[in-house]
Amino acid sequence: MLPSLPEAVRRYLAEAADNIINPAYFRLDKNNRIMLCGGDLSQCGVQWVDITKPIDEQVDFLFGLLPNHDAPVVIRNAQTKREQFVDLHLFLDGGKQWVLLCNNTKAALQLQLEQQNRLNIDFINEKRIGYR
Amino acid sequence: MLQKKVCLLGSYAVGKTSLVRQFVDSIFSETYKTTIGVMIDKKNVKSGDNELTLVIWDVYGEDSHQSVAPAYMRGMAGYLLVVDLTRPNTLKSADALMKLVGKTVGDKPFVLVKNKVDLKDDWITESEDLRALEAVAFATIETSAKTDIGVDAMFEVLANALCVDARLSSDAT
Repeated sequence: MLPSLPEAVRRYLAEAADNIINPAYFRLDKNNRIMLCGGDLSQCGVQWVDITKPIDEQVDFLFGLLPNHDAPVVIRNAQTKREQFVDLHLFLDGGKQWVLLCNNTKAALQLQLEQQNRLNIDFINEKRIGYR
Repeated sequence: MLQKKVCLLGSYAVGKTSLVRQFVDSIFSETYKTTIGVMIDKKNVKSGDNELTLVIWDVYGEDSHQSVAPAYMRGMAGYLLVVDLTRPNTLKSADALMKLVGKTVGDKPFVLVKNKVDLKDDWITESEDLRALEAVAFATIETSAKTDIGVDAMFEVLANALCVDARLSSDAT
């Protein structure tokens, strides 16, 4: 966290991270095997993991995304199970791969409501002016 | 078993989610519910003598306010490009998405999916955009998530495309 932020803001953000986004994380070796994991895995769509196997062979939504040798990758609102939305962050630190999962369900459901209303209007407009 | 990530791409409300729900759960709903982000499913598909597992990414549709983020295409082996021929604008969107795939992950095999064949009487019949897409697609298939026409077939054809692509890649190396 940025050291220039006041302590109260940092504390607030840390609490928000714990209480709102229920983060979970994996540190992986070059073969995508788990070196370290923790956080609220079940809130991020991961029920259990076998540390002897590559993570992308066990967690469907990570298949195809690893290994990550590039700049950080962010995939917003992956629906890992019904009405559970998770933001996926893939990044490198000290040559090690990290996967950070943040539960984003509350914001995603709100966004869905707004998007639904907007697209319903778009639909009506498309019909009114003709599809061409 | 061989496993591949595939995406469904297309404009909003062309029926991407309905196609996946019909394929995976054999259900269809008349109610349109917009997709946020991506819904991920998994199903085994036969391709000739082979069977492969498709990890299916049903990505939110393009609309006038948002385009598809390239990150969703990461690791994708092929894709279904879905259009609704009652809405010619969906062809423009499909063309833009095909170009975005090429720029992001390189050209990948795709099946052009003409969905809502149950509304075929309302389809456009002549389109330069359509002909251009058909010319570069691995195959074109007509589907209806509503009446379950062509749904299994489109995934099987894509699986064939992935097997052909894998064979070509191994021959090249």
